[in-house]
Amino acid sequence: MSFNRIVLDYPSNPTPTAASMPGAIVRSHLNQACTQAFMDWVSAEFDCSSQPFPNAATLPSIWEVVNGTAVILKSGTASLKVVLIPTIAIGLDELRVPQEWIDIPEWTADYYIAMQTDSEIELVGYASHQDLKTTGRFDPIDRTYTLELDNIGQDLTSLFLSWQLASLPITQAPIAALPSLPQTQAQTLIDRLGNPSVTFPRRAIPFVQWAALMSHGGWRQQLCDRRQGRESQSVQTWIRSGLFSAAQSLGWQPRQCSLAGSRSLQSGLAKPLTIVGNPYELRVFPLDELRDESSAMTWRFELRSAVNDRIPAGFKLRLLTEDLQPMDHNEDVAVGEPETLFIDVMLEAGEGLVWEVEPAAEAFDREILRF
Amino acid sequence: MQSRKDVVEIFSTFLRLEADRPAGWLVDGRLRRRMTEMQDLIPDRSSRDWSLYWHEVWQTDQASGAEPHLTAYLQETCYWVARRIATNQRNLSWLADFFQIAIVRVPRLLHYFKPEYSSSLKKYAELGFENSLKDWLRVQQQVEVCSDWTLLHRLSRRRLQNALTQSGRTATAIAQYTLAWDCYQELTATLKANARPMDDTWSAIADAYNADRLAQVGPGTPIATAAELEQWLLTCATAVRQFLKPAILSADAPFSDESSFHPLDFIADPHPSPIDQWIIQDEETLRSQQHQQLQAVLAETIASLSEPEKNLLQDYYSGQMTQVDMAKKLGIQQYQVSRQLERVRRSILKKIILWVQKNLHTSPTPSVVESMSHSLEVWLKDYGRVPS
Repeated sequence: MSFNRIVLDYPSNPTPTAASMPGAIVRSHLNQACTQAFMDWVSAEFDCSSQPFPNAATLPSIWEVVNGTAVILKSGTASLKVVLIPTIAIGLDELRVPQEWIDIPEWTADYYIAMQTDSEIELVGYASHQDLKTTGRFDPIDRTYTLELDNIGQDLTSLFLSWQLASLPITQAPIAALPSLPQTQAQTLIDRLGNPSVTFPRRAIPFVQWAALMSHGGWRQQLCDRRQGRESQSVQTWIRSGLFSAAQSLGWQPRQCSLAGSRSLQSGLAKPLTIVGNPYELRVFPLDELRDESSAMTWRFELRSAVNDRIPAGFKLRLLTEDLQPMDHNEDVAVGEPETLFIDVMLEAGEGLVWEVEPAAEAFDREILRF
Repeated sequence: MQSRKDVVEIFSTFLRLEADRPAGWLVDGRLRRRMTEMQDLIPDRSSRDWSLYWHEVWQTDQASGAEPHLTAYLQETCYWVARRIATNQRNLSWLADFFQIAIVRVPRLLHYFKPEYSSSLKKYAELGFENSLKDWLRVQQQVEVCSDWTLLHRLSRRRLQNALTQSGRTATAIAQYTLAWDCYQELTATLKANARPMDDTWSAIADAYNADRLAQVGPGTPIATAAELEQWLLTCATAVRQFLKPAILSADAPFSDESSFHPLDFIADPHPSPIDQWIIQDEETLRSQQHQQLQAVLAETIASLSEPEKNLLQDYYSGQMTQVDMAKKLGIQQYQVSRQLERVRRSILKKIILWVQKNLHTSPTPSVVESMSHSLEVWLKDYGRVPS
């Protein structure tokens, strides 16, 4: 029984979604609308910033296969991670959280919020990670943790007021670390689950394997592309074609790049990054002329500041294999304050790798670049 | 209907209702014996104070057998709310059903009721009963306008399975129907019309069901045809509609005569010793002081609001205007009224929280804040009733 209903308006301007099947389309629209409405409300009413996690561009790859959206709230030094669980059910009687949000370490949150939609969007209940993990009922068929709405807090104002007053208990129950997945196994699984005739990919393989696919942004994007009938594109294709929207939606822009001391420009890619609050740019460009797509080529990965010519001491740029194993000569560390960090790597056609920086970039999610 | 006057009766009898009218009070013998003994020990205590006593017992131990005493106490409160809402709905024959729907909320009400912030369990419960009936009516209205195909989309898994259980299906059948429903949900979109899915969609649903049935229902699960799946889903929709009707809601209120008493878990009856009594009396005095102070804080906070904010509260909590009416009066949108009300409420709530934090040394965890928020609703309703 709601003493004080919190009802939000639908945001206008939905982004068109591409999804493999009707359920996924509904999921995408629903999550998109509820996330935007929630973020607008919470930032305006509780004086905080809100960002989807890991980042907005990657959310469609989550919604393709599972319900829920993570949002990080920040107010001063305090931060709170919540997962929104929207539904179109009438008279919602439960908070049902997919296992991914409880048992994948990078995906866990502090609180989980049930949202119900009709002509309006309503915030109807919340529970902590600990509540769900320790007292929730686990449904092994649809792999969810549930709590009855009658048995949890229902007043979201109370949750956020309590947070504002630094009195919100934040306890996450301990969960097991997940084993990693070797590249070949991941590819086999993606091939199999990428077929949209698999209705419930998240139920089709053991959870630990599914979790490994989901927590690797590059694999998750691949799975999503496959199910939605998109070919994964190589970096060479992006450069040759002047970039399709797929690359741009992942944050890459075309950039003419040159080596230090050289006049000649190569067509390459750049991605803006924010690291410890400052703007940087990651550039990827070939050191050789683009030849035919089947031969090996040398590529440079370069990190430079967007405002000056210095990389702070201790920063690192690192390349890993698709399945996150280190590669030889794969790391450049800033000793003193160099102008750039760079790694040159020779790659066969079709080879993929993953990049990362240390400290981590804001809103970072792993991506696989294929060459 | 005659209100009960005798303290023992108030805490040990339950209303019997025919469809649209009260038909007497049923005595629970065990509860009556206990109340009689307790009243002998403390003869002059008011029923209001007894309600606070039982609430405290309940808070200490929910299995202590205090709850039925409180459910008995709240019978008239629930009745009058049920009657008011049945009258509003122009259908007094719903009275008994509404009573049942509301009275099962007692445990949750007890959980959030905090005597530190609220002096009257009855007023608090009245608002709680009212809100639960409004919620229920809202759900009924939404369900009524749905076709079966839309209803199947707008369903939680829990409700589906509860409805199927109640309609007598076996566990295996429930598993089969649930998988069929999963496939229906994933392969059709509610965003389109209310209509029945096309035949080729049914084939796709059947393919999906049959591909997953062995893994998700069990080995040996037979193949299902599209026609069977369609039947199952229509059965699900029917079961859900039936489940949501009031007659089916479990009447948890234990009321019976002595011989057919609904068994509850009792621990040893708590008999207050004289020292307990003195402590209780001290607490009662302290509590009424706290209430007065809280009332003063509340009055001060409201007094310091701007005129428009005060008017907003008055208009809304007088119960005379809906948010839509208020929006017209102010020349703004309804969602803006809702948002403004929220903000004013929240600013008052925050002041109260800070006072309670400082003077009662209570940390504002979410459930504490929720309790205070509920109490605030009761206060504001009272505020609204008094013309400014």
